Amino acid sequence: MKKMPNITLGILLVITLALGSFIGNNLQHLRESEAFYRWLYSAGTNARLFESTSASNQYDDANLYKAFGAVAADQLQNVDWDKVEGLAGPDAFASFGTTPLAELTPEQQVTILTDIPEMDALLWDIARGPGQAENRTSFLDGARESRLEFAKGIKYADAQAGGVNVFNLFFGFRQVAATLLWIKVDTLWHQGNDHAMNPLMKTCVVLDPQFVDAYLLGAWHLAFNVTAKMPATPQPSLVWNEDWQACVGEKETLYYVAADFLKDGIRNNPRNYKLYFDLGYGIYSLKLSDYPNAIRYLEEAVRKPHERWVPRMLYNSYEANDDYAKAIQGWEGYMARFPEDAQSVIDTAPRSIKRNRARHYTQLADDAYNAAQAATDPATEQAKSEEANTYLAQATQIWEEMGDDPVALAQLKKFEAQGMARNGDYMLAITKLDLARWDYPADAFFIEASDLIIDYKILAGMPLSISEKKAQLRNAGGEGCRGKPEPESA
Amino acid sequence: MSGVNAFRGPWTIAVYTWREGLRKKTLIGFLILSLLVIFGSNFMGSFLNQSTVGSEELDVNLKLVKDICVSTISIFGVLITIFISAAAVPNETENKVIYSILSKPISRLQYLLGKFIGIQFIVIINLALMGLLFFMALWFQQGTLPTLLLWSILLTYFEFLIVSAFTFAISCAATSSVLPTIGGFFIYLTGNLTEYLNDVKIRSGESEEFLDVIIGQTASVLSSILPNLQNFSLKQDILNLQLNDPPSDMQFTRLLIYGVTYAVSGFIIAVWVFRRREL
Repeated sequence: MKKMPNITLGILLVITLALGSFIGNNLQHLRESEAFYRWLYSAGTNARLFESTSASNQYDDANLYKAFGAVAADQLQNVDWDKVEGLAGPDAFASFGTTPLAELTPEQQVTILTDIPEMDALLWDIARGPGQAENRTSFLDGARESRLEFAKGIKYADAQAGGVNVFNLFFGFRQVAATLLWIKVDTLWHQGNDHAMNPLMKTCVVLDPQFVDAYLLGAWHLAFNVTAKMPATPQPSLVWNEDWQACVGEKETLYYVAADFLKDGIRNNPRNYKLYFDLGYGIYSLKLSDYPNAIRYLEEAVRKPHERWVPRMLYNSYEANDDYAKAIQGWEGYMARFPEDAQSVIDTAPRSIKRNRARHYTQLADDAYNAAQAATDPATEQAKSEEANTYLAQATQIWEEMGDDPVALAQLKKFEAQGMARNGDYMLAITKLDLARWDYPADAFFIEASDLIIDYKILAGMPLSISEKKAQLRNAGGEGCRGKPEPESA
Repeated sequence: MSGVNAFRGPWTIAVYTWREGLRKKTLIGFLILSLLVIFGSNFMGSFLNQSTVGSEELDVNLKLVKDICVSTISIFGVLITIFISAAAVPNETENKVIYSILSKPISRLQYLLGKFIGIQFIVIINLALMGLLFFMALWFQQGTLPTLLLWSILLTYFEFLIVSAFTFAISCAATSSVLPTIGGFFIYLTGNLTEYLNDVKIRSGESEEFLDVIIGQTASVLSSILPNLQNFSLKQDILNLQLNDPPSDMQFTRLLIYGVTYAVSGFIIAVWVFRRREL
């Protein structure tokens, strides 16, 4: 021991501490870069999907995002944009118009890259590179001063804020705290204490922003369970909401709160298809019947690694949005991709294709019939009527081929009723539709048949029932509600 | 041959320390408790009534097991590490065994090396037992081999290595294990709160008062020198990997070197302290 004097030990200690400090700085750089990279994804996902709904003027995210794009511009020039387009599919960049990807602004290009898993490595290299040092510092300053909306929930960024925040409070055990809190949420749910659940669910995801199941279950509770026994708000009592750009009552408010909850989840977990799926199908399709938005998020879901049932719901949403050609194309592609999925390939897909074809022909027949009605010269009227009849015959043939499928039977009854109405037999048509809507009580068909009954009663000069008058008023009121701004005249 | 002899002494002491450590009731108590919690985490899911959204299966139960097990290993693992590191040398001083050992042809450096290696054996064995049960629990829950868990456990060990080395250094100056135990907890706490120092550093710059500047500079130096145990939070993150997570291998290798470097620093302090003790 005497052979090792103090000075030698001192030097060794200084060397090891210096080495430790050097590696520590290196690790800190990596952790800062990781937080910055996570923020980049959050901001990129927001720019790509939710920009119109984000009221974030008080935050600096947009400026920092722009600054990132400006600095990354040189590196983005080397990207093979044709390859990017191939990886994402042709529909992925519809919101950027027809401009070639290579000619978009760097900010837009970054937004695109955050959607392509194969480009993660490139973005990581850019985010941790020396070129972004200034932006990383701005990011940390922004996180420290709570000026960045999308830095919230990133652990390292949270820790920068100092003071007693949730990061420090749980001393690195945030995830387990979130999980234990979730058990409490579950208990509250089974006690029927719905309103106490909401703040706790939000605390769970603040503690653990990667707790995907909390987003899924939370949104499901809000949109489906809490609202299950709520009465629908009558149209005149709905109020315009500026943030959601929609007329909302009590139920609708919870639907949109659930949608916002899932959107937070998507920003924090941009590669998880389940969040896109639940937002698109669970909320927009099933609850809000907003099919364009449902399709938007379901298309996002199928671009991520996903389960087989996800595209099936997308094709159903195409159908609900009257986009039959895309639905048929989707189902045909599905059959080719998964020939081993017997249930879908033998039963669901062929039936869906037939149904969409029949609906497509019906749509064409309606268009031709309307054109015939609007035609001024008899020859066009004749031609359009014949065209309508041909399409109708094709649709009828398909529905007949489908045998005892309730949708097909209901549609055939509807065709019969429409034929009767064209011949002026409104009473018979109404009777047929009235029977059919109770025999095949699918929601969509019930509404379709009821609307036709109202139309035929009006045409026949028959009195409407109270509920039909209410429905007529509701339809006449359209989407109007209290506080909704009047559309600007051209 | 002399090289072999140089290692024979430390090895013998390491094996003896390990055997002695396994007989300690406190450590066995911690170990049993941790194993019970890890085993029990499998049944935590029974508190949850909700495991599906519609027909969609959720992984809340799996997350429960992961989070509880990682935290249990961290908490009980660090308790075991601190208790064993704090007690190894003071206990031998108290029961005078150290005098008979140091009267043998063995240097103080060899003695400390043996003790430190023996402590690491105990920590590794405990961690391996807890990790094995956790591994089986995860395997049972998710149906596939949870290989990422091995990396997580390895990172946890290197975090404990730092705590162990500095606690050991304090224990070399102490005559009883109470002070080093408290010191060990303090090291673990401050190691996890090193990021506060950055906050102090930034806030001190808000005024130009002399004391403020001094505090800021001290915080700056300390935050550079002191080990930051929060760097090891990757151990939990890699178990819940998300698809767009940045590659963790870059941090991983650095963390291993980081752990070894600070462990060597702690050991050098231990040697420096111990060589000055009158025994």
